[in-house]
Amino acid sequence: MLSLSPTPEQQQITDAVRDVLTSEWPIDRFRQAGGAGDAGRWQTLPDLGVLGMGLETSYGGLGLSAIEEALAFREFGRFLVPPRILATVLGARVAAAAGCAQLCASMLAGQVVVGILNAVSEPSLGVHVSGRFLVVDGAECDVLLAWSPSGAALVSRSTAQPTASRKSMDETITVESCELKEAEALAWVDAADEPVYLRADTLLAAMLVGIAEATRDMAAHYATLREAFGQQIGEFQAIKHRCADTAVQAEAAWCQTLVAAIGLRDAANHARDDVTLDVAAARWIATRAAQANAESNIQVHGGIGFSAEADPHRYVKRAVVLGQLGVLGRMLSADLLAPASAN
Amino acid sequence: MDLKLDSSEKKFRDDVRSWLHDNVPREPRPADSAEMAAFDRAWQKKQREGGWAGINWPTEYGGRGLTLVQQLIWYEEYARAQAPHVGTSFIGLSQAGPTLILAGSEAQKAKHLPAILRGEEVWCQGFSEPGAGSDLAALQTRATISGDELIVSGQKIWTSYAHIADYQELLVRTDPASRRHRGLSWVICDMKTPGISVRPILTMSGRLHFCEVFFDEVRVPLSNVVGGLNNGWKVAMSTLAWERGTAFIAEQVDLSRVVDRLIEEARHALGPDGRRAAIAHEDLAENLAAARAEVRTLRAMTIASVSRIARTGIPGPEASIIRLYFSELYQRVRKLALRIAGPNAMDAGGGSAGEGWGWSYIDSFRYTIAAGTSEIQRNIIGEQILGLPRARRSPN
Repeated sequence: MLSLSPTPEQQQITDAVRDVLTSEWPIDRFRQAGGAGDAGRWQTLPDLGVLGMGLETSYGGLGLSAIEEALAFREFGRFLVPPRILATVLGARVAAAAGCAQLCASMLAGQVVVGILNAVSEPSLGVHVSGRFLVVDGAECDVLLAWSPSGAALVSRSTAQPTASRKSMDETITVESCELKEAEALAWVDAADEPVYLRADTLLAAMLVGIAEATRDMAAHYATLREAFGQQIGEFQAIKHRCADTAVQAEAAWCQTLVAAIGLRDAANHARDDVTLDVAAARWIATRAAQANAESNIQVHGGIGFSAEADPHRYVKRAVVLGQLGVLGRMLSADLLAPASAN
Repeated sequence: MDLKLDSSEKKFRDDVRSWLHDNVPREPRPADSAEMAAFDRAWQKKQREGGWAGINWPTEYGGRGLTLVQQLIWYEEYARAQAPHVGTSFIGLSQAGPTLILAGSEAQKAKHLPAILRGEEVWCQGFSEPGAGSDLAALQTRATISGDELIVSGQKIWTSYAHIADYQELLVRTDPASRRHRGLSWVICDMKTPGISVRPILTMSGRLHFCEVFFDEVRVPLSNVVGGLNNGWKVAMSTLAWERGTAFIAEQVDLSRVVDRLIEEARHALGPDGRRAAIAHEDLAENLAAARAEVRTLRAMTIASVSRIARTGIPGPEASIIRLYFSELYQRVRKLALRIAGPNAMDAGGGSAGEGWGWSYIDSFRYTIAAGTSEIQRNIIGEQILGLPRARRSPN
């Protein structure tokens, strides 16, 4: 039946992931350790089974779909789990599809962590990888993942040899430069066999929804706490209406992300064009929703919002980083402007 | 979660599609005239006779007793078949009907619901007044009880199709000592009752469908009160919930077709440089892509909303989210169409849009005003969804 309401099982998954993140990955962890220490928490994720959630059981996964993955990634976004979660989940899928069972298993077990190779010029991906990249959140990772509409490749970090460390806008993750020339991939999967870029866009959209929802809630909460001119600032329409817009943005982005995830799950039964369009729409809407809500959250907080001591700045930085991942060479607007299907 | 139709939904869709294919009127809907009302009634009657009226209304009142999901499928097919705008049947089908189903007495339901479905009763809405628009609870039209009748005096405004309607859903103050939202009643008013006079008001888009309605000691049977005397605010809120939640599904579906058409036009129409196609201009292409993403998202929100209402039975405050998203998107699309149309936008009658992109831009202003202004929707979202404090109001 046509429905976007979560099933009880799906709700349980959301709750389970949120429970672990609430206790193990609280947002105030950044204040305690200045952002360091996430590496020490990594094992909680493989222990929860979320890394192989969408992988078939024959590869050691849970055999669930892109929908359950999206539900989990929405929580990852909300708790600012670093982007390597995306690279590791997708990396395990690439390793499995390329027949590297051992590599896949060590990723699912938490022994191998994957960082992101994000292209800054149009890359050449295949069994050999060339191009200029930023290594995002790849410090202390053994393996890096690059993806584009042509396919996805895993490259060993020692092959990539990042040359220069860049000053990262999001202080909680690292950014480095590297240039690859015909570097040998550990594993490669063609998009025709496994459209990793569509899954990447969908899961990124879900993470961005998490940010959009977290900042919506944070702004509304602050608007009931903070008083000015003798009343809670949320009573002023200037604040109330800004907050209302964050609710609209978050709802829009989540609904479309679910539609994209359902399309991905049912890809065999759908016209491919429809899935591409829905995924592109989800990525487009969620990217804008996350950034807009994170920006509003800072404005609603006023002075404290601009300080490094409060949390709002972290979401706007993360929204910008996630918004840039895998975008180059991914002509979202071309996907969106394709002629409408006959249906 | 699923986007696939199950086998019964699929069969339903196929049946709808083939019936609409054979029965949608070929002639254009006349504008602003007695012929328009006759056209709407005849088309509604035809749908009823075909067994397609009141998809999710109870069978005992002539409906099909099916689900809201099937109602959504109907609307999607309706838009696909380019069937006529619901027109004068709108209030009866989308507001008065659902409100009566929820709060009406047995006699009220038996009298009106089948007649609405047969196209025999056109309804209009009597909520707003000159001094009570967004602040609906400030309304002053009085109804004093006299025996088994109410005697109504006052004025309503912005009442679409009042000059055509057979009945009005009328919100009046039945407790003279009451303030604000207490002491109101939702009343069925026969528009042929002596003492009612109607003055149509010309809209900025050149249409004559919304009206002022004057009541001079109009006698309405007390048995026409719906949902209990002095309980009208609650009943009216459910009317508005339906208006915000489901009444515009057909138009939401239709908007995605408008964007499809706009994108196709932009491939051919000359852009602002007078040489290349509009779509070759990067900022126009970006805006068109955004519009495509947003109408796609609107459909996702509609499905989410229908699944939610299927669970809860009535639209909640979330209805304001979709209403706000839809109405502002509608206007952005019409504004973008102006840029694609270029100088041709000045011709309000031309273009492939039937009435023309220029006209539909001008007409789009009503979307963020009707069914609660965008400002009221944002208040509802802020207060009822996000839990922000209500503004303190001066007592009156």
